[in-house]
This record gives sequence, C-alpha cells and structure tokens, in this order.
Amino acid sequence: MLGEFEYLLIAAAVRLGDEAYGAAIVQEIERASPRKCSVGALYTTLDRLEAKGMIKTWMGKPTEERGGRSKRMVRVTAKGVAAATAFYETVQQVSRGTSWEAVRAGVRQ
Amino acid sequence: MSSVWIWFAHALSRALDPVEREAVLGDFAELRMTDGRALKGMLGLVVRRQAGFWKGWQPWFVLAAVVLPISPLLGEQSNRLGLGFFPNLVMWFQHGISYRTGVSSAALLAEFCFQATALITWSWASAFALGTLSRRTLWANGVLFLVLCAIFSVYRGLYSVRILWLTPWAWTPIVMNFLVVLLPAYCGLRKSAKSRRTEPRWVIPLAAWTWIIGGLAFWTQGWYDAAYDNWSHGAPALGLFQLAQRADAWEALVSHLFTLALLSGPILYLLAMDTASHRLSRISRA
Repeated sequence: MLGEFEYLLIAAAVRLGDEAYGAAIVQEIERASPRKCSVGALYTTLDRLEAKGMIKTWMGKPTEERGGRSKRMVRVTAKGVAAATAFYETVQQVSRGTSWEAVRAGVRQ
Repeated sequence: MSSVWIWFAHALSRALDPVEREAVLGDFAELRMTDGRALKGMLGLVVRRQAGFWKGWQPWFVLAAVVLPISPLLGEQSNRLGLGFFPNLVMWFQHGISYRTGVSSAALLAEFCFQATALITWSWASAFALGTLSRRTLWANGVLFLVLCAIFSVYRGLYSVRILWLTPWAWTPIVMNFLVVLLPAYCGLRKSAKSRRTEPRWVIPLAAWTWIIGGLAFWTQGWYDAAYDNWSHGAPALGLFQLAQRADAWEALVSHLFTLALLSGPILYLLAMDTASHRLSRISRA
C-alpha cells in the first residue's frame, strides 16, 4: 500500500506525462494540495518508489532555465499505476456514504 | 541575504552524489528557490542520504578506528609541539637564548622539524585513509575528525592565549596547530575525495615514511631526559650525534611504540586492503 506522499507523487507524475521531473512535480503537488513539497522528501521518495519498481528515472538534457543543469525525469511504470489505482480505490471505498460537508457542519455545532 | 542561503545549500550539496547534486541544484534554479527553503530542502536531503549510508558497518568502523582514537592523539602531540616551541621562541626573540638547557640549538631545530613533519604526515595520512575507507560518509566523518582535532589541539593552547594575548607569540601554538594538523588533514580529505582508488606504488612509500618519521619524532621526545641528566653533571649541551649514542634517549621511542602503531594504523590498513584487492584482481584475471 502506498503512502499519502507517494500517491501524490505518482499522481503528479502521471498528470505531467513526458514533462515529469523534480521541479515540475514539486509545482504540481503544491498547486493541487495545501502542503509544501520539500525537495529532500521528493528525492528520497523517488528513490524508494524506483527501488519498488513503481517508477523509472533517468537524467534528461540540461536546460538554460536550470543554469545548464540536467533534470531527473520520471516515468510511472505499470506497477506504479496499479498501486496508485489501489490506493485511490481504497480511499473511495472507505469514504463511500460519507458526506464531509455534513460531518464538518456537525463538528461545528 | 538570499545568496547566503544558496551558498550554504551549494556547500551542503557536495555531500550528494554528483548526478543527484546536478538535478537538485537545477530544480532550485528553475523554482527560483534562493531563500531559507532551499537550504532547508538541501539539509533535509543530505541528512536523509547520510542516515542511509550509516546503515552499513564501514562508517562506524572508520569512526571507531580512525576518528575517535586518532584525533585526541594528534591533538596531544600537537599541543606538546606547540607548547614546547612557544617558550623557546619567546626566549629566543626577547633574550637571544634558548629556554631549555642541555640540548643544543641544532638538536632543538632537528626535534622541531621531525615532530612537525610527523604531525603533518600523520594528519594527512589519517584523513586520507578516513576518506578512502568511507567514501560516502567522507564529509560527515571528515568534519567530525577536523572538529575533534581542533578541539584537542587548541584547548590547552587557549590557556596561553588568555594569559598572554597581548603578545603575538601567544598565538604561535594555535597557528602552528592549524598548520601541522588541520590544514594537512583537510588536504588529505580533499585528496581522498578526488581520487577514486589508491595506488600501492605510493601507498607503500607513504606507509614506510609514516613509520620512519614517527619513530624519529618519538625518539626526539626522549632527548630531554638524557640532556637534563648530562646538564646536571655540568657537561656542555648535547649535539645530535651525542644524543644518538645515549641509550636513555631511545626510551621514549620504545614507550611510544603503541601510540606510533595507532597513528600509523590507518595508512597500514589502507596498504593491506590495497595489496589484498590487487592480489585478488590478479588471481581473477589469471
């Protein structure tokens, strides 16, 4: 089972497609969620996911925008897609029939 | 202010693999991350990576066999040299005479040269061996080694600075400790970081030199007992040749054999490892 951050990372990489690399994933996660994405957490999670065979990474071409430095490109493997799907389905299953609006209103009272 | 953060982040990034360093610094540049967040992110990554490297036995072995036993020894020997040299220098410049009696000026100079050269050799060789034996934790173990050497080197030197801070001579032991311990150790670390593997061709002479110069340095520490004994009988100061003939001058060398073995240990271990790996590769080629 994936962790929350692992899921966010895989989802962002899938959404970015061929343009998935470190900085782009950071921006994608920060745009979609209120949390700040630390570069340290990102790179250690990338390593962990690659070791599990859920993603594949390689060094891309250097660009001027990056001060002539290369990107670490990311591609999600079939195993990664399956794990992210299982995570998403679990969240959906466990949330079925739950209205967060109603729960929030109940907590307020 | 932002340049300070990014400077620290760049300095920290040296602890990463070159490929990862390239990707992370590129991300910082693209995200225009030049504030404290860049430093925090880099620190987090370096700490995580270092913590991963310390799961193996090599960093702990280097810590236990090189960093912890050798840094106090280097500090102690450096103190001995610094505090012995300092009063001689003050007396020489203020009164034109040597502080100690019983040892000739030529012998004093030879003693200083042997001990300073031995300290430079030990510091460089220990730091080089440290870096070679634990490449991935080189900077963590290396910084700890330098800090401990600095602490053990200057803690007694600071006493003379506190007492005599108005005189420029008071700073001599600290400056000398820096020159004969910290600077060579830093150079040894840098050398090990740059070279991927060691060559027995020069590790063998280095190991031999470490033993020879170390033996000479400890031998000179026995000169004073012989010289004082001679001086107490009203005889003139002993020269180098006369000291070499005195059996009691050799006692210090014998009593310091264990310390000498400890200080020469890292480079001898490196030599043994290199010889073994070369033999194995020759056997596998055959």
